[in-house]
Amino acid sequence: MKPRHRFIATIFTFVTAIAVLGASTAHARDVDYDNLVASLDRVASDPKLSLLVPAQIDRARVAVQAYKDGGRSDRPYLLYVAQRRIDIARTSAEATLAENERADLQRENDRLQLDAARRDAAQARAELEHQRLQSQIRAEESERLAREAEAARAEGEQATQAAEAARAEAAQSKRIADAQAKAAALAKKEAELATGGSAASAPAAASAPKRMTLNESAFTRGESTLADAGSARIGAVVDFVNASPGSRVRVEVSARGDQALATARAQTVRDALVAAGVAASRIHAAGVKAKGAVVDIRLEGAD
Amino acid sequence: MTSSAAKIHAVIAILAAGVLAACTPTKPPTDQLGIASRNVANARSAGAQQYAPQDLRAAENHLAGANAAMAKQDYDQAAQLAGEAAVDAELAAARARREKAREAADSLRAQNQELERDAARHAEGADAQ
Repeated sequence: MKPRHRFIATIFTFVTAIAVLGASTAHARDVDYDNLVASLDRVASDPKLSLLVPAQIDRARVAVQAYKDGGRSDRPYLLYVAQRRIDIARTSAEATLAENERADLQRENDRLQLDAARRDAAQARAELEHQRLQSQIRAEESERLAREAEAARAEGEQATQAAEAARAEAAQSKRIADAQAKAAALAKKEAELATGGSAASAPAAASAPKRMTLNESAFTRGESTLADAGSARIGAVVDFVNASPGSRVRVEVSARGDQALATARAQTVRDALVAAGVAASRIHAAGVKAKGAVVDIRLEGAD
Repeated sequence: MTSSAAKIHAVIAILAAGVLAACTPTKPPTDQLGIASRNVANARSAGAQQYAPQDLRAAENHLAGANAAMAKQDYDQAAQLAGEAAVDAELAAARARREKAREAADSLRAQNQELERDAARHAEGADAQ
């Protein structure tokens, strides 16, 4: 019995020692625990934070409780986790708070941007209106100028018409003067005719034709020699030429563009006239490169 | 008295069984490791590298430690380190979220002040006209 009692006493002592030791560490643990609870309460009692992250606060509370209930060996680990859980709850709440603020600021920003855009639009409209007025003023100005220019042109036209009229009047006067001069000349001529009425042959010579032509049949076809008809016509030419003794005789021959033939035929006519007694100095004969085929005899400088 | 001795023996036996139970090797904490890895990845994608680098580094170190403990089959250690890595990473993600939101809010606040100044200037100009 005695040793058994000693054994029991030993056990009791051992248990008491453990209890005392446990109480001292429990006291140390209680400080950490109190810190955890205080720190958790700071978050949980702040309505601004606690309402935002109820789940996180619950998890932190569970972690604190686990620390309280945990075994000695797990204590550092459980303390670490509990502290982190409380930090997570607080930080998450602050993050949500910041995000809400950001959302508010974003709405405010949208409103301000919209206001600015409206303002810009109003300004642009005002500017447009201003431009429109400006251009209207410019249009009116240019219309006025156009009217003025039109008026000036009309005035100028009137002046031109007046000048035209003056010119026309002058021309009319000149025509009248010319007509008068002509009338005077005709009167003079009439008087002359009246005075020389008996010597009919002389005025006939004066008014005799100054031009005569021979056609192609006067010549041998394609040659410069006179055909029979031509020789007969030369006599008439000689009479015609002799009717105006003081005149120069211009003989112009054309042979359907054949210049050489025309020249040769002109020479033939000239020779014939000379042979008939017309002074060679009076005659100017030439072939021309015209299309027709005629001999054109003109008397120049004769009265 | 034999009965009391038996009681004491019973108590000792129960204690011994408890100690044995506490010492039995736990299962590999693959779930905790998975959660920790996922949390670290989330923190990175939340911008923790920029906004909460210290917390992210702590999470990465704890995760690396957990993996090392796993390799040594120290599953208790691995489980605790994985748990620490998980909360570290959650905290890093929350900090990153908070800092990003605050940064954006600050920028918007400055922008709004500028816009309000513009509006006030414009109002003055309109009044002057």
